[in-house]
Amino acid sequence: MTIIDCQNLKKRYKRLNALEDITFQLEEKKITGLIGRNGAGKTTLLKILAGFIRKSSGDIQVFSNNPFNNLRVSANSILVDDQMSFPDSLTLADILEVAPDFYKRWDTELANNLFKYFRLNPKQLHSRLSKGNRATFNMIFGLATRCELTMFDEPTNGMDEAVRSDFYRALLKDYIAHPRSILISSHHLAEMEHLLEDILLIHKGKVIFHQSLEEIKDYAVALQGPTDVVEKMTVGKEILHTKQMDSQRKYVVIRTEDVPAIEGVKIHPVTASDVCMYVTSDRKGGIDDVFK
Amino acid sequence: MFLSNSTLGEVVWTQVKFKVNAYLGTLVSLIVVQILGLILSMNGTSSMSTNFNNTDFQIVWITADTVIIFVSIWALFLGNVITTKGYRNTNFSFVTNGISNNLSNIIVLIIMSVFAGVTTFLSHYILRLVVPLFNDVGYVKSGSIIDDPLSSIASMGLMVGLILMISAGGYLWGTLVYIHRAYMFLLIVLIITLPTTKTGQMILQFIFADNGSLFVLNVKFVCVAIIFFVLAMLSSYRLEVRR
Amino acid sequence: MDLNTDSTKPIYMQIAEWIENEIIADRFLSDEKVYSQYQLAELFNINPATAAKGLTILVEEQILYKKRGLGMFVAPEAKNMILEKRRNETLTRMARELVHEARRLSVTEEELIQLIKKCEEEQK
Repeated sequence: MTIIDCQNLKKRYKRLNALEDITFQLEEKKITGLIGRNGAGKTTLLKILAGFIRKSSGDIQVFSNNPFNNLRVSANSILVDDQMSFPDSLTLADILEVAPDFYKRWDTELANNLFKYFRLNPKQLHSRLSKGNRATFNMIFGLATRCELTMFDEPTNGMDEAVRSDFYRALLKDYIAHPRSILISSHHLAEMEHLLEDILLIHKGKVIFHQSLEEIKDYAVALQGPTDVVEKMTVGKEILHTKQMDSQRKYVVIRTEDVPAIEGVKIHPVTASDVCMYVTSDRKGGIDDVFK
Repeated sequence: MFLSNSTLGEVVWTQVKFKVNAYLGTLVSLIVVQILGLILSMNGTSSMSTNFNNTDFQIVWITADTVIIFVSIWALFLGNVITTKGYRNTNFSFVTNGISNNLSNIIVLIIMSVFAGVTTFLSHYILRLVVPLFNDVGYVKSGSIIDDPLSSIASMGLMVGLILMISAGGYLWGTLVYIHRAYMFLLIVLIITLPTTKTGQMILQFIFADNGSLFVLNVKFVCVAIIFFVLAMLSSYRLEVRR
Repeated sequence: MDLNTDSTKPIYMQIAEWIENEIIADRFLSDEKVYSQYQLAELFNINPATAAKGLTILVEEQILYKKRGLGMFVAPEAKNMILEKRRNETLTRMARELVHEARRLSVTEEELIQLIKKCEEEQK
């Protein structure tokens, strides 16, 4: 079943077109990575999906409803981000206590166990938490709601290395136990790609691709070898990225095709993370070219 | 796929429970405001001196009017503060939409107004108890709830209606300010124009004067409150959550 | 258990290979049930869909077979099939790479054969 259906979705702020043209569908019970550079429109898209902000034009359906101001969407989706706030009159323990009233599938056991595992203080106030602990608490809250559509916007910002890997592991285990649609945005694809089934890559408010992770890993290959040979091999091809290794050797990334094996030229795979970086790059060169 | 279908009623009810719990602190501020008003009332709100047969009389009216003024200001701020960004965002951390958020806010304001109205009405009994302790002058009591329960309940209701109307005004004002900051000055403009312009005076006269009974006045208070709440809901219908 | 996420090989191929290795090592015997996609996902910390893809490859190669509602089982001839496949594919590829590298380092054919024999001795 389709959970999200976006057709030519646009969002304009006063001076900025945050979303230019977003069209995609999300099938149920998949973990999808929402990938894009800073300012690509990830947060705007998630806020529209959660029903917090209005679309400017186009069509959007979440559980077959326009999400803005929709109770059904609000009751069955959660957006976890660093802007989440809770009243200062409630302690963390109080928050976990009122949450089941709102979320019918709230998993009290999971919430309490994670809370203890991460050694959060039940008497603490949400606004007084450190950045990392707040991100951890929000993550626990998001997982425990067990909402059919669970969205995380840069969930690991502020978490330390150990908490990050615990978070991804907790997410995976809970997903295996209770499959649901999960959308995680991040600009760190590499640290979470093992969890993902699909990737939705957006750039400047447009969808660049929406494919399985494996397809993206096959998207490009890198050729590395003597400059003149590599240049001859890549003539007329779609070049995604080039880098001059030293005076004699060059590294060129092209769309995947059968390249003939040539003496002295090495063919490397390109990671999904690099593919996403190269296709959303507006320049052909790298940072090295700035310092020439 | 399991989708929970929460009805508007359920969500509003859950939000009301949550908000009453979360805003319990405002009741502390109410009590502080009431005590402050009572202390200032101890010396009397107005007085009159006469001379009769070479004896000086001083008549002092001791009322809880100051408490009412203080609580009214409290109600204005309460209505206003729950529309601010911080409060609004915490509401949207849980299941809600614009309508359920407004409805639950309104119900919370009604609950708070009833509590504030009843306690403010009762506060003048504290004056009756305390004032004779510090003054050794002759003391004439007005009728109490036991002497005339009906009119006491009517004035208690009037108190609730007044506080509700003011908090509704604060709510509308806060909602408009959230939509655009320029509305900040709306209240100031109203305070200046209402008593100084002809239409303003007519409106004030219609509401506060020309009333056959306290009951009619109270109905007017409640009607104004409803108008304020409806306006607030209509103007915030398309409002986004800016978190 | 760790996978090599940077490797040329897609993760689902690595999962398939891991199961094959387990079969060769007799840790999964003929007609025995292998791990489900969810068990594999937990074990390797990967998305269950990726694990499922690894299992599907092995079903297509008839190394595993499906029993409806029960899971995946090791085919009776699985071990031999894998060994055969590895001989054909993996060993040939490695030999090709070995020859290629030897030529680059100007190692003669004679020397290479000597080297292989020496390695063979060491393993005994």
